[in-house]
Amino acid sequence: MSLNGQGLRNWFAVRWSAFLLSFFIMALWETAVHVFDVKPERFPGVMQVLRGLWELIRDGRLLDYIVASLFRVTWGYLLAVALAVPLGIFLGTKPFWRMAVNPVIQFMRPISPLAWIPIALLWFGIGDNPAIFLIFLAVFFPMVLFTTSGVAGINPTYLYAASNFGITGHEFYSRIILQAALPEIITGLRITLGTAWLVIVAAEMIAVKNGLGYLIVDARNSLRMDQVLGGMLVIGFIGLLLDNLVRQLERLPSVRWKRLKQ
Amino acid sequence: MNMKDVSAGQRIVLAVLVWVIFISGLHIWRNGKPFAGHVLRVGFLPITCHLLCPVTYELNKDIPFKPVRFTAWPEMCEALKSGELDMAFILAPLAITLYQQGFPIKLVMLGHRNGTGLMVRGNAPNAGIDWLEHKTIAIPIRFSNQYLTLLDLLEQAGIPADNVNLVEMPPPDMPSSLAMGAVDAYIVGEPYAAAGELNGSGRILYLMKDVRPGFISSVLVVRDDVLQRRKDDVGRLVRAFYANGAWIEAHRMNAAAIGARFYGLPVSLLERVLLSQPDRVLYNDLMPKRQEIDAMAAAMIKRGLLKGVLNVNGLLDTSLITEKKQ
Repeated sequence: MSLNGQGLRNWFAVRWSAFLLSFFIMALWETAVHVFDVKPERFPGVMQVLRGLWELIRDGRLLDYIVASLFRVTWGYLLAVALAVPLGIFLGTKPFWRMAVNPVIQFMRPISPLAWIPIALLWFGIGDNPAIFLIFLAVFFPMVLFTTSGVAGINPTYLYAASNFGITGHEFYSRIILQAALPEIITGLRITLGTAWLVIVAAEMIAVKNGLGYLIVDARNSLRMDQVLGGMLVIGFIGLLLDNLVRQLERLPSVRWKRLKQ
Repeated sequence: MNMKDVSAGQRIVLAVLVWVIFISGLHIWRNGKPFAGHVLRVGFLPITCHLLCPVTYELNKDIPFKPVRFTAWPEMCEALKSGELDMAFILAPLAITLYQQGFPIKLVMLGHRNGTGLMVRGNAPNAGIDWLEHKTIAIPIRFSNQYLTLLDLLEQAGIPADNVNLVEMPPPDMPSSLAMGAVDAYIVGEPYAAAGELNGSGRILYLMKDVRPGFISSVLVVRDDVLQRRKDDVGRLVRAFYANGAWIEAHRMNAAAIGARFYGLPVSLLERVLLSQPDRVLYNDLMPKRQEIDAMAAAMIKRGLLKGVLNVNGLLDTSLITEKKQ
């Protein structure tokens, strides 16, 4: 399914088509704005958006905002993963606790992290902490579920084999449980990173004074639709990079074993 | 295979660690708080009602204060409560509400006077306020004098509040909502009335200077604990704000340029507000009067925004302005 003989040629072809398609969309956008004579305050053209972005790059704000957003996502995401994966492994291996705790997690998970904004402001004030807290919430519950189901779904044969070989304790968890559940955990990591990036932008519209979400609100307040759209382009582009990055994890041999077998 | 795996895992952990250190360092370097503890932090929003904040920052470099820009009222209130701000320019009814909720602040001066417009669709018939009956009108937030005054104007015209559809909306969205026909009218502080005027989406029905001369939108509040701890510094800053009101009156063009730069708004917009008519916004007479605050509290009680009797003497403190410079 993944890279084979034709892989490299395909890879280039895919990248090229993606590049050409985005170029085509931008050309279409610019042309449409001119042909239909759309007012810039309603929907600016590509060139104007790029000029607006250049302004942000030049005065250093874009870099500051990207750094701020990535900082919050990094901490919120890593804290959530660091707590959720061990909890998920615990729940996955202990059916009693799984049944006891699962309803709570299932109850918390569908509450949008954005609904927590008033509480985040109240508890953490203004700044990085409320945003990190919201990211944490967005990642923690789904990540617990992914890990739990990954661990609970391990083929019992592996566990019997492990016990026959006398593997116990720390080694049992790190070499058997974690390895066997890794594909699902990685899928969880990828999906929740996407969610985190969605949530950070919304969180920064409320709780902070920098970051890419703030950029959108601030540009709107300054009646700069070009920078609103420029901010959206940057958000999309970084989201794409993040997804690509986590996809690399799926290429690890310890993750691919399951897929290759299927 | 096992060895390879472990090393791959270790490489990932190492990469994550390097990334965390890198991004945290970069964040502290680029976005860390650069000002010292003794600097007074004053919250403001990019509206002309808060123009004294950037103007004073520009003119009085000797006073250690830092204007902190916000985009929404609720989070500015939170920042004031949590101590991240020492002072703030906030809507007068919001200040009254905070005080009444038991949060210790003093209302020390006004942001400006007039400076609010009631805008209607550009293609609305050239009629008066009667036209607004059964229409959708945008207001910035219920805790605003804009809202109280709109209801008052409607009541005077014999239109019950139930006969209009009021929606709360961030001011920057109002001109485009009017242009799209999502709302039929809006009442808002400048420069967002002028923004609707300039982009052709609306025309002025009323400017407050004509129907409510001396209209109050925002006020400057100081936390009680800051005032007690640093009375001299706060007094010096408040007197500078007050004096710069007169400066703006004498240098409206320069003030528009400073505002445009700090707010990131087109200078033509600020000039429209400050230069088109001399009393569209006023920065003199920024001393709040007791009866003005009383009247506002009464209006808030009438509209269900406030319960109980407001102790105006506990909230109002104009002594900082009148105090002689030491």
